[in-house]
Amino acid sequence: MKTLLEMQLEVNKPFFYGSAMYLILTILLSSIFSFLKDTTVIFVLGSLFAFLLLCPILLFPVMMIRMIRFLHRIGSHFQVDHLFGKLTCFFMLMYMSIAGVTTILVSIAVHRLPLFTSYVQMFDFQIGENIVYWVLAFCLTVLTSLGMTWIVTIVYMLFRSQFMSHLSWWWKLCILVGIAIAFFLVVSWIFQMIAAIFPSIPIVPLSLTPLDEQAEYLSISAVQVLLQLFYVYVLIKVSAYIYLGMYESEY
Amino acid sequence: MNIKFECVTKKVYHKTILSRCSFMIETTGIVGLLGPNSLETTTILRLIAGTMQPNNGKIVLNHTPLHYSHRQEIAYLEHLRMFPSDSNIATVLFMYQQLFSDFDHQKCQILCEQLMIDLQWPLSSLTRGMEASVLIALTLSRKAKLYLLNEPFAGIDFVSRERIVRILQTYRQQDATVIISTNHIELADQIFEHVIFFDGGRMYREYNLTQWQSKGDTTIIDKYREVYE
Repeated sequence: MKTLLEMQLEVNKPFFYGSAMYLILTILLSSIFSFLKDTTVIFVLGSLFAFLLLCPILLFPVMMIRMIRFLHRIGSHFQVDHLFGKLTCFFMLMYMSIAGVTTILVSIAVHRLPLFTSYVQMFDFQIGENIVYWVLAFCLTVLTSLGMTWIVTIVYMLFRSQFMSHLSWWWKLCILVGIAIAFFLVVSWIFQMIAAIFPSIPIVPLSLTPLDEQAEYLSISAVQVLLQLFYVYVLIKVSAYIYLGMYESEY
Repeated sequence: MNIKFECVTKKVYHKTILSRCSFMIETTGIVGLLGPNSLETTTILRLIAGTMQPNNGKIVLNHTPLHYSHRQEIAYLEHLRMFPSDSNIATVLFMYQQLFSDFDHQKCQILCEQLMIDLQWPLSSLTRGMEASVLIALTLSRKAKLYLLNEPFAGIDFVSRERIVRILQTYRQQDATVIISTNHIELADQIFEHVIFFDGGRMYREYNLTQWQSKGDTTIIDKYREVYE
């Protein structure tokens, strides 16, 4: 693990430095905006920063792919399947330590917890301001990271299979879009299930709130909808990058 | 090592590089893949190494279809571009040692010394010839059953080429197969035991040089002219 980590650091050095700088900048900007008094402004800015904070998550699969590409091109006999376990653990630890802790620090800095609330609302839920939700938001962060890592893994495995190699790129694109949609539907469904099983926790799915509150909520969360679409787009791009990166890029 | 291509087709960006290409290599000697289009021979090496997938057809290694697990028997490194450009050759050797259990670090240092490579050289400062020498040292330092060398003489002067030939003959595993794709055929008579000519995406002709040279009437250069002119 130590040597793998050393190689990982060596191969992905620019990404690590980039992510670190990016996160520091996000914390600084969040702290500056925490002085604003207007709730809506804080909410919208908080949403934006929540999304910005998500970006390093997208970097981790890219780093993993870079490492796999490195091993692929070097002709290593390391079974990629075995390697995924170690790398996933590594990325999870990295993510939890960087993004998780940073989220808490940023939230403490901005007092009003806009990051957590807006982060959760990206999954179409409203949430109150309570210590319980800090934990919940942190778990969501970890779950998303796990989901992202594994969805990328599954997509990679699928595209590496003999079956996929015979399909045209249109079919491959359709499958990628299908996987991306399925991923978000499943995530949505899981949270609806949590809300149904634990009604005492005031996580209210959008569909269950009164209409007037929905309208108010929708007007505020328009930014989140756009961000979600962009998030799906980036996910598709990342998945496509795996495919294109793994094969045929030698020329 | 037994390598068999069965009607392999490979397209890159809709351009057909190999078209229903079939051939077989059944030797433990040094095999040359020759042809006017080095893209064909390079693609064959990439397909055997598994860094590319065929569009159609089958590649069989030792009577089993090519699989990821075959990589532990194949030594192949096409270039050093995938390594971080700010690292030096010593770092590359360290990475290689971690990744390949059959990598002999000491042997690689000896080869680097013989090829006059300084381990402290940064990768970004290497010329094409230096890179080719590093690739040879790294590849031959593995205890593999199959060595694949792509254009090992590119950018290297005649004296260094002769040195590389000597190293190839001395330092490879004696029970291993070495496949070399090259356009530098002036040393071919000294190196190859078997040559395969490719043209138009297919195998054109093949010659066993041990039988052929015993007749003593022609060289590979003559044959190359005869085939391609």
